[in-house]
Parts: sequence; structure tokens; C-alpha cells
Amino acid sequence: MSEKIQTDKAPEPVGMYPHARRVENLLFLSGVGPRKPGTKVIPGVMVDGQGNAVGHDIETQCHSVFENVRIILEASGSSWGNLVDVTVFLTNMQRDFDTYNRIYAEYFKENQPCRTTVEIKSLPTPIAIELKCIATID
Amino acid sequence: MLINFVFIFFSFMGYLAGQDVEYLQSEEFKQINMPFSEAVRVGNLLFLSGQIGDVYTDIPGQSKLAEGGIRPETRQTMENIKSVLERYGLSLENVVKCTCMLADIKEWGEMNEEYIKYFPINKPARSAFAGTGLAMGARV
Repeated sequence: MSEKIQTDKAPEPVGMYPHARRVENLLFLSGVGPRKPGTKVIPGVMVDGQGNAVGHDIETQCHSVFENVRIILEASGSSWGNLVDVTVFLTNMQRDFDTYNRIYAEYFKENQPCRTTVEIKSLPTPIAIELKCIATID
Repeated sequence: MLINFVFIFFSFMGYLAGQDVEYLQSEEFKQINMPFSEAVRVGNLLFLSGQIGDVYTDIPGQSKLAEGGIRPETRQTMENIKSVLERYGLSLENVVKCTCMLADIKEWGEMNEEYIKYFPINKPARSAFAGTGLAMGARV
């Protein structure tokens, strides 16, 4: 009925869930953030002397999260051009929306999936952006 | 314009027919110049982008929220969803899943009372939650 997809090339999930699950020709991705695969490093996070997150660079995080989505899509036999629906969670819409929206547009010059953006109070690790995606598999 | 109700629809049966994918943008939607489609059709499923309760103004590419808060905004959001569906040959009866994002969970009750008027027979699966911010300062 459905096939579970896990890959070492994408950041390890923070709980008991797969990177993606395939149902016929549709691929459902779990939420993914900008964390660097194989590490605990979150690109674009600024930390103080105690290692607490004190700020972030949204541009770096956008590039990193889009790269992680691409890795999962390709590990699943799909591709960037196969995305059909993207839900974006931001922790600071007012400050980050314009930058995020500009970078997003660079990644979607051709096919443009549906998109929904919402601001939430926090995410499970100190990340400022998380994506939840649905794609097709040819 | 971009945020809230996410609806997934299917027109007839749950079986996905083939690989055909269509990225759908009306002329009016293109004018707001956002990097996404208003809907994407995959076989017999139609995915919609988030909708808020906004109405187009006389200025091309500009819209404003329905006035009066959560109830008028919910009704306008539903009307906007209905328009997108009808543009692509579907209706609210074809809705199978909705995600409702609110600015304040205290307005869940009022949102819900307006919402159910649009689904008198078949009730789609639904999730609702409140975030901390929506586009254009929308309530839903």
C-alpha cells in the first residue's frame, strides 16, 4: 500500500518518522528543516557563548532547507520539478517573509507548486523554517 | 492571497489516474506575482494553495481583507476557495481534506460556525490550529 523512505543523505529525523512515504505515484514528505545532514549543525544559526541560539540568517536557512528537500525527493525517485504542494512554517514572518519569498521564487522559476505559509511560535530545534511537501513520482 | 485553508480535492474516485500534472493560475492570480500556483491538478486530485478572506480591489494585483473580523473573513475565504474550485470544474462537494489556520484559537468557534454552512452534507476531513501570524494580518 505504501513504501517508507529513509536516506542517510538527509538530516536524521528528530523522532520516529520516515523522511517520506510513497503512495502510488504520490510522495508525502515529513517536515524537514535546514539542519546539515549527518550532523547537529544548523546553518545560519547564531549562538551565544553558552551555545544558545540567539538569532538566525534566513537566507542561509532557506538554501539549506531547499537542498534537504531536494535530497529527499531524489532519494525517493522524485525530483524538485515534481513538487505539487508545499507548506512552509516560519518562526518570524514579519522579518523573514520577503527574503524567504524572494529566494523561494529563484527555486521555482518554472513549475510552481501550490504553497501555504504560516508563522508559528517555535519549531522542535532552533530552526527558523520548516517545509512539508507533496510531490509526484514519474 | 497565500495563507490559510489548504484543501485537497478529488473529483470522483480515490484512484490516481496517471502522471498528468497541471499547474493552474488564473489571469487575476498571475497579477499578484507570487511564486506559486493557485492550484495544481495531479490526476483526479486538485491541490489548492492557502487562501485568506481577501477581495480584489480596483487596482490590479492588489487585494484587501473582508472587513469585520473572523466571521466575514471565514465566509470570504470559503467564497475564494469555491471560486478556485469552480474555475477548474469542481465544487465544495468535492473537498476531502482541509487545514484551517487561525490567528487566534479563541476564534475557532466562530470560524467553525461559518465553515459548516459551506458543508451541509459531506464533511471533509479537517485539522485546525492557530499560528502566530498570517499574511496581511488575516484572522484565518
